[in-house]
Amino acid sequence: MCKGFEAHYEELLGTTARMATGLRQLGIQKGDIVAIFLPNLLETVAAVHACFRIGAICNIVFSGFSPNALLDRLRDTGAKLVITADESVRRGRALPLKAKLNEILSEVPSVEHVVVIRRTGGQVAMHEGRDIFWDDLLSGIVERTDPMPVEANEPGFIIYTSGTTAKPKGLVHTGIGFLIGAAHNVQYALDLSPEDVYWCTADVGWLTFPIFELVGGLAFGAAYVLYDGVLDFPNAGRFYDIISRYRINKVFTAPTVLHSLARHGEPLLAPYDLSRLERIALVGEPLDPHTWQWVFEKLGRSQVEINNTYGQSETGSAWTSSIVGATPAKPGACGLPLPGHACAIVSDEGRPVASGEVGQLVITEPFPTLARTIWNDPDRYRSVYFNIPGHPNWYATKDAAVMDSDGHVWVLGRIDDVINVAAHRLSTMEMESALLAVPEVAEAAVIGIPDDIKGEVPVAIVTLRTPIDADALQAKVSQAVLDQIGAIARPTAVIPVNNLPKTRSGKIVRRLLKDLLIGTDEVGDVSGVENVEILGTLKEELKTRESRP
Amino acid sequence: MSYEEQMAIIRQIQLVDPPRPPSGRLPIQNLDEYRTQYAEALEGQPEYWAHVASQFAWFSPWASVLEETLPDVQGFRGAL
Repeated sequence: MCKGFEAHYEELLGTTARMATGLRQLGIQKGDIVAIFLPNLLETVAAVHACFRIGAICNIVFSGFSPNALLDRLRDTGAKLVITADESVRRGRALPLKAKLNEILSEVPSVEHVVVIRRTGGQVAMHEGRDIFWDDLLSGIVERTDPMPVEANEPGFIIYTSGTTAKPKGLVHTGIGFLIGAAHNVQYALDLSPEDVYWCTADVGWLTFPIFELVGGLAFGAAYVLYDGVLDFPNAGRFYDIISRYRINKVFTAPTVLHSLARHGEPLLAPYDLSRLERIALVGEPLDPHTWQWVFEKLGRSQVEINNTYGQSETGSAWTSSIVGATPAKPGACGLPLPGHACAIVSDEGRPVASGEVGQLVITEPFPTLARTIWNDPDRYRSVYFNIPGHPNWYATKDAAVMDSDGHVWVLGRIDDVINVAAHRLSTMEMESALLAVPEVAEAAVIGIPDDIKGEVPVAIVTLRTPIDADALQAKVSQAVLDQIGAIARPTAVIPVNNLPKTRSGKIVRRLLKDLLIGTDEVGDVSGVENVEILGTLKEELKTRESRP
Repeated sequence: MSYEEQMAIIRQIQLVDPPRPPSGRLPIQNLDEYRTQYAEALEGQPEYWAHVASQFAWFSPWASVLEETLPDVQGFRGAL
């Protein structure tokens, strides 16, 4: 059983202001980097705000990351201090945090101090003079440090996002722009007030939590439920249990949570009292219309507003959204662009497309929460995000989208899912669904690889349900693609492998396949890959491929 | 699912009104107000965001709301 406790704003302020004093005692000054390797604890909230208070730049690192992913980030930022915990608790088991950090700290000479929160009280190795427990540090501090003025364009925090090439990108957000835009976002997408009991289910390691709870959320004085744990333990009803137990009326979560609840259906829902619930806001991936209807009718008894939003770590806000209580929703869409966000949907040539047509979603005017650069790599920021032909100052989302005749935005997937074969735009998703029609094929990923003549050519990487000879496989796949799409889309090679790289949520990591296929020896950021152990074998399997005309 | 299949679904989806009436505290009360506010913000982005920013407490005000453009933008320059 978890233990819960209540904290008042005054206590949070006191801890934050004393922690700010603690950070200064440990030598942290304005502009220094503080890495925060923690789950959703009250101390995490205080630690982040203590950094903002003294102008230190914080980098929150997802506490589920491997030591290597943590190492990449600490090295790239040059962190001077790390705040972590002895252990975290997941599904009733203690998982190491400080021990993970200890594995790699010798490789990060920039780190001068480590502050350790006692989450479980488990034994951890502490390095004399470098490491200190959070409560030992704070117990000697009475003095509160006042907020330090920081110019509006100075960096406030860094958040890493997976890259399409070798290194994850450290997106730099300003503290002040983020505060203004995140609070605006929360007001329109949730309409929080001091009367509300509100819960954001995201982990602090994803930007959703800083926007909708840590910074934007806290600006409205609601009662916040902070939960450190997974949503399917001790049983699948955890989400309902927490809403019912704390009489929550507004919740922010991810579509995947609702998919899973809808699959369990009404029996799981029946024992809980969700009658106070007024609003569910969402971000993360498309919400299918079927799940939307189930949530609306069953979970929400047609009384709960569902606000499915869209945003990226780069945009720092979920900038397409319903204006809650005011604008109608379309089940499955991502709402309307919020005031202050000018956008367009454009063709490959950078020309706006008509309503109802697919193109790339772009943002055409500055707004406060847009990431300002990539840490240590400003050139990459320009080349990755500002490459729309004829419009060097438009931000490219890299997402394919449609705006319908009512102005609602539908995000369909990454534009990388489209490949250009001899000037024909082909959807890799469409090709993959053709491949799955071959009975022997279990899973399929189609990747575009550069080709001197055609620009790009499709290559299919598949896992097999039943063994099949390579020539027969190639012939069957070609026929299936020919039947369903056309000759132009036939893959130049079909490579069977034992396993495909996947994320925790089971999505195939196509960019990694591309890195491996193109044969640069560097592979992309693998921190999001669940089954990293397969990569060695996969690399060999892809190397021995035989390209066919 | 291909784009064509997705578009076929999208075209069939109907609008659903928010289930609760506006509370009076909302920044926008209805779709018409949204359209007006969105269009006004589009006309003058800097003025719109200056209005939003003026709801916060500042140590000292900005010299200008917006300078330069993306990707080299400076917002609320000089404000603390």
